[in-house]
Amino acid sequence: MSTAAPTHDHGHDHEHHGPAPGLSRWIFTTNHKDIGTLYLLFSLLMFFVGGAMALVIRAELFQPGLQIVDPHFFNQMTTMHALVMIFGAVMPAFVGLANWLIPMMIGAPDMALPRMNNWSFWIMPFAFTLLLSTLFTAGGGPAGGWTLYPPLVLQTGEAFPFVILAVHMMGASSIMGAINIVATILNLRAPTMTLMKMPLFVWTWLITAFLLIAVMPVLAGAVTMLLTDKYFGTSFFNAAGGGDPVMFQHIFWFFGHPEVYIMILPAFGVVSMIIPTFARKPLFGYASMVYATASIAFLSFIVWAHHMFTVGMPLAGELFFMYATMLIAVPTGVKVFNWVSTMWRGSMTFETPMLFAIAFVVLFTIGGFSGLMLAIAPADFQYQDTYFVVAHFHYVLVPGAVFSIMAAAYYWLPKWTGHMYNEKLGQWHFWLSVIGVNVLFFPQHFLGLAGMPRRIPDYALQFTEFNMISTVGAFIFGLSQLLFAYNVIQTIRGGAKATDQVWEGAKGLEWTLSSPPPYHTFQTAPRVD
Amino acid sequence: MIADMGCTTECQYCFVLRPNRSLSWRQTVMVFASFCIITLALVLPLVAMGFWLVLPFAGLELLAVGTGFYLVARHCHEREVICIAADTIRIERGRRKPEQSLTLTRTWARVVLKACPRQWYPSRLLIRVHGQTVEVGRFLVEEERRQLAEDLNRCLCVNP
Ligand code: HEM
Ligand SMILES: [Cu+2]
Repeated sequence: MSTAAPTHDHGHDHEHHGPAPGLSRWIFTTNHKDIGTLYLLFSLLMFFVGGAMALVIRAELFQPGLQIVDPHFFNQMTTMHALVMIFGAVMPAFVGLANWLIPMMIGAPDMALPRMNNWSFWIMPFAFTLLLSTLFTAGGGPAGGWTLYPPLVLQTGEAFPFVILAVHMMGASSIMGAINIVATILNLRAPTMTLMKMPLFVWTWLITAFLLIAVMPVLAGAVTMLLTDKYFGTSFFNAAGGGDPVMFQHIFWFFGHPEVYIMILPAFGVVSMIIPTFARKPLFGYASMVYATASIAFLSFIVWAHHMFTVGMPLAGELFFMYATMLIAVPTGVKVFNWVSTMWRGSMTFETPMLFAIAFVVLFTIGGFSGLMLAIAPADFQYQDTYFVVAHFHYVLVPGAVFSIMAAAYYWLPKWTGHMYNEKLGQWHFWLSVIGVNVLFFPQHFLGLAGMPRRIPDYALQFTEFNMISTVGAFIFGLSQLLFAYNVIQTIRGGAKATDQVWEGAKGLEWTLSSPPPYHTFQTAPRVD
Repeated sequence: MIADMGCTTECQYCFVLRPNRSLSWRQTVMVFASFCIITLALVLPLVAMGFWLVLPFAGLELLAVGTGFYLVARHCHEREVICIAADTIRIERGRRKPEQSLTLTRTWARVVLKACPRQWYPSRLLIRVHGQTVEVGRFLVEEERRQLAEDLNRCLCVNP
């Protein structure tokens, strides 16, 4: 009797299966692991593109006066940096993680809509080529800030329609990614994987995908109305024609605030998977984590005008948005409490993923606190449009979202590639990053409180010292990311063999697979207890 | 999922293969309805205020969501029945009822689980008789396919 072990059979050409050769493998692939890899590598590339822009900004701000770039180019850099980092680095990284991990975590053979998965990735390189190429058009790229407020944004030159098209393409990609993720999670779970047994990364992505599907049409509509206002004579946001520019801000933030949670909820999921592994204790308060995530998602729809306290609103509006925003601190606090309780009396070890996860908990919380300060409407009249806001959102986005992505990369890289990354290099990367990021962003709190406005290429003399410190931090942080890229590439190319379990304390279906997950995806039927 | 059900008496062994299916059709409709309600609840007030250009995008998106869920639901209803009788192997495919059917002679049938030369890609389970090859269980999870290969082999070895 022949055994059932997979055999390598090269005898029959017509039965050849698997990837197409060479480049076409990557262009036509519908395999979730291939597509996840493409997303992650694309995101890494965009992280460096956006990072280079950030270094241009920080280099110019090293001293008062104009040294390196002219103000118009500076504004293009701030705008492009934000668009590239948000839509090109952070979002695709999380979609890439979802692609790799969700099928493995829920016991599905692949994503639910593999062909759409291919499209949703391949739109991205085109969208960003288009967006970045606008830097070379007459009048330069967009320079009015990533929030695209009219009437300022309508002064963009020839680049304008291309920027809008690029935003549409990114939106379409996000929507397709989100549909795929919801359909996979809801339809393709293994029989024993009930909703309340799903790993938190899966839960947070499920809720994130709902948010994405809810708000993306709002963004698409808003940017299209900018376009018709500029080229087709409509007056949605044009006061001269009876429109209202402030309404753009309402609509934008109605999308924009849920969007910032879209960037942080999957990060919560990642950290909730990593901390239990290295604390060697189950996650404290699993159910409360799920409910906290859902309430954050719900609240994110009713707080948008905290970005607009100074724009002008009835007093009742100011109060409503102030209290609603503060409410978010409650479920967020639940999460931080649960992470800390998970570590409490755990037998902790501090490998690179855990270091990044712990830094996430501490530094994200700092960003949450500055958010609370900004949520106080009367105080925000002082802070609005200063570097304090810049410090706030960078604390939640860099040591928040970006650190969680790095933690995830170190944590699952051995599973994906079959090789262990270089732990020593990982530790160096962590310490340089965590020092760099604080030297970079902490002084910006002081600059903001002292009144330095954001989005300016030049500043008054009294802000010099803190700006210099910040720039030094930026270069430490930026350059240490090269260690990360080097470490990742080296791990892909080879290195010590990883075991299937990889981490002693890791739980979950993906760790029952061999590393890298090969043709026989599960050795034994996936069972969830 | 591999089940052992719905077989006629002529079959000596019978395998019914289905993809994972964790959402019933009713639930699919409810999920889609909830997407419609959430999206429209956000978009319709904007339309009422005159910002009607969000509506076509919401419509397009809901169309995409609906199509996606419909296709996945359809796929999840796929079914393959492998019926091993005294001297034939019948393979039927379809959703509610068999839409495709193929009968092979049982003698000389060989079950091959082919690994992909490249890791990361799923294996393929082939039933071969003379020059003829049929693939089964494409939508299964790896370990189910492996299990099925073992079971099929065992059944084929038992003398009819
Ligand atoms: C406790 C939770 C949070 C609170 C209370 C909060 C509050 C605020 C407030 C009031 C502002 C407006 C400041 C101003 O413009 O004057 C703001 C800005 C911002 N927040 Fe948060 N925030 C929180 C968490 C987050 C998270 C988790 C993220 C993203 C991951 C985030 C990203 C941003 C961004 C990007 C901006 C600036 C947008 C811009 O004007 O360009 N925030 N936050
Ligand atoms: Cu906000």
